[in-house]
Amino acid sequence: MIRVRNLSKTFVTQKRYPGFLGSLKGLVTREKVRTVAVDDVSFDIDAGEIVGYIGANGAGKSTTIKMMTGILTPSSGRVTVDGVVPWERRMANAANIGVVFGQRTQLWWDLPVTESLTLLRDVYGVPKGEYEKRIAFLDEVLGLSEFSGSPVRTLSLGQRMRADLAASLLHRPKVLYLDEPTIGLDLIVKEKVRKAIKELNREFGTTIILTTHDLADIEELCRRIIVIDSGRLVYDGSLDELRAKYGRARTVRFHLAPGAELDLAPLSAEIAALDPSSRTVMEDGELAVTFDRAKAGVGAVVQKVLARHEVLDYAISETKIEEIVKRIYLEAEAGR
Amino acid sequence: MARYLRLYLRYFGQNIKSLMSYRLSFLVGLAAFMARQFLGVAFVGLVFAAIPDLAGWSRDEVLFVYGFAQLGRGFDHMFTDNLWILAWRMVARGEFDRILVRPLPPLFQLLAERFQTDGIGELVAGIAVTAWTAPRLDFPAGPWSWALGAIAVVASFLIYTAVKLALASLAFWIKFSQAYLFAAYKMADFAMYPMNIYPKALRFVLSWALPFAFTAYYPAAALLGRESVAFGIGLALAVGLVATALSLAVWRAGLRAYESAGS
Amino acid sequence: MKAARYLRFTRNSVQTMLAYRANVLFYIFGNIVQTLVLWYLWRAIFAGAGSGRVNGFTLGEMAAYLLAAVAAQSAIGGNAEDVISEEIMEGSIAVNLARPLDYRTRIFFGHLGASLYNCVVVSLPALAIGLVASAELGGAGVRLAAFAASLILGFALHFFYKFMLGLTAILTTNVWGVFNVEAVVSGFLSGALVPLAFFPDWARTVTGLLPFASMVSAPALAFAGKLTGADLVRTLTVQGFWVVALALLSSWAWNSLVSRVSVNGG
Repeated sequence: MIRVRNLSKTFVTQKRYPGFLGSLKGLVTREKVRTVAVDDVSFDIDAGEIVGYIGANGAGKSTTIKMMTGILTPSSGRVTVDGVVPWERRMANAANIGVVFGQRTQLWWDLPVTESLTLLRDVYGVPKGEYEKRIAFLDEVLGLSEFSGSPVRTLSLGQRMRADLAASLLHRPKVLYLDEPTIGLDLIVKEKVRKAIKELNREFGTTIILTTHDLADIEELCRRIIVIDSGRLVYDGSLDELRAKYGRARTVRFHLAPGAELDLAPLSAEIAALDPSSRTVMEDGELAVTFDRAKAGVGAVVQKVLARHEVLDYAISETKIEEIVKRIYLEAEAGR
Repeated sequence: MARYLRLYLRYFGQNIKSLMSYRLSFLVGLAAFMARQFLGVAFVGLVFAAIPDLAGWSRDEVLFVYGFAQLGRGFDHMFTDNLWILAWRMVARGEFDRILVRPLPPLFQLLAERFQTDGIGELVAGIAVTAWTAPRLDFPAGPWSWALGAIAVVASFLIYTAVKLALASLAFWIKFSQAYLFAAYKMADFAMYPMNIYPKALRFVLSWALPFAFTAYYPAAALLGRESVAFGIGLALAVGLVATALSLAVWRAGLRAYESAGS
Repeated sequence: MKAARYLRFTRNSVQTMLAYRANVLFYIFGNIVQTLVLWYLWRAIFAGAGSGRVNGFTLGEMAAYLLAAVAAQSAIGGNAEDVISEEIMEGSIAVNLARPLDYRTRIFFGHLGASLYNCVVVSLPALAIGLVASAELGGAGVRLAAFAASLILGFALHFFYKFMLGLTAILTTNVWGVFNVEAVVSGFLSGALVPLAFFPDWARTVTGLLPFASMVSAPALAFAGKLTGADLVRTLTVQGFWVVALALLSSWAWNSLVSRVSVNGG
């Protein structure tokens, strides 16, 4: 459905200097800064997949999505979405895709939701009878009727997101791009939105590309993830594989006795002698040690800590996907 | 074509509905532009109280030019006002994204999304001033006068919009371009008075670089029999069409250069 | 009052204008164009009048008047109404109200920064040209001093006026329309387009009752040498009256509207 080949995008901006003197300096100099936002990225996505596209802020997620949706023209490389090069044939591409940007609505701010939807119906040329059927389905999944008569500007964030999802699905797109669809929502609404996304994918086989900061979204929705860091693709594979590869990691959290002097550096070094990829840090007032269970035994790590510090309590946990992604980033950094 | 007309009317309907939620603001805008035109007329009136004629133009003739200038400008203001928003914030804030992911020509969507009722104020004032001065100036001179007048208004509308489109499109490269629009619209003020009060160089610029002279002065002069029809109206239409073609080229290049906002 | 804390806003506002200098320069260009339109128009008017004087003005006095009017308009310009209306529309005013700073004073210092910038970029060059154009009138030092005195009072009363104008954003969403009509009306009534001497008697009575003449017409007339002796003293007194009146009025407007701000912006 989607083919991305050697995709790159470089932005050229003018350098700005900080401070008052800086702004005077800006008067006389014109230094250009080149930023590589996306660097030689390639992947394929099949019809019906739900793919999580993740990366830190500024990693190049949105830029990639914008090229796939035809908003941006890449500096080099090629993309086809259902056989169409998005930025060359924007209108043809637009008929195939649905887009939701979590932070910005695409609805008309001052109009009731239904008005926005009927206008979009005409824009996409959806027949009336068909429209009724689709709205009935979307209402069932997203609960639109709760707020469909209210102007968009009066909606809560969760309602607005549901309305935006409905708007992006009216024309039954083959591909749906969701940019941070759960940002700023509370847990219950998040659950609702995720359920709706799953439902859509199952019912219509919609291909879904999702960027998110919330890794719970990924765990619940995606079988496959693509990780991008500093514009480069650093991981592309199944979530299970990722867990298998990094899932041997364990984290032990120690609650230290108050007043105990903690000297992190030597402890960290001792544990690193067991597993060089381990991380020993203070987090929320607790000492957290993350390591590969195949290299350093849990018992050995606990002993090392106990030998140096008085510990009131400790707990062992399986590593969360957050931690795994952090490790991928770190490895990518180290590899550069 | 019929589909686009139907869609335009749909957008138009939604615009009017949104307006209804801001009734006061609608009236304020209308009043603002009526007041502006009224004071423009008052200015001419005050000046002519002190002098018999202005470089060979009578008060009624000057007012005719002034009123005529508001017609094309009023249409332009009503139908293409979203270009100001494009120049002011749509590009800078990445709001233009949503237009690019819909299956309609971007320029069509941009223009259809906003109907500016403020322009009605200019149009009404323009019609009033033209209608008030026309009979005193032996206009219409013949049955063709109205048709020629209509062509001239279309030409004027095209010129205003072309200048606005080209300068607003600069925002695709430089993010904000409303200052350029503002400056250009100030240049248009020159066109409201007889050209022969200006030095040659300025007249040249207003005729051939930013061709605002063709939005009002030349066509109005032709309608009053002071210029030939071929020059005042025929050429105005040609200038309008050429300017539109050029600005569309700038717009298309701008779309390719659009960089959205943020990461 | 901790002046340093407020001066930061003056500096910020100059800095902002420097950052957007391309925009600012084009706005200035727009104003130059407007001045040129007026100049050519007046030249044609004087040429058509036959005698050397129109409504008591010679062409030299008219040039001095127009340029001084441009200088005064820019120097008192500021940005209070834009800042206030933007803060109200975005809701950020709620945060700013919570700061341990007096809101109006803060806005004043920002306004001052924008005015200083305009002063350097527009007013000083306009005055320099004005001085050359009006050399034949003589007494440049006296005219400049009278201009400066009148300008300072005009700046003060104009600030209070613009402060109130910004507050209209609480009452309507079409601030753009309001500012537009205001710019045209005040441009006209303040004498920036036509000296008030051109107005018919009844209209002059009306402008006499309004503060606009004290903003631009007064300093511009002083610069053109049309205000001397008792006339000058009387004009400065009227300006002083408006400073006090508008200061009180803006306090009242602020106090009665500020509660609505917190409700909307919350």
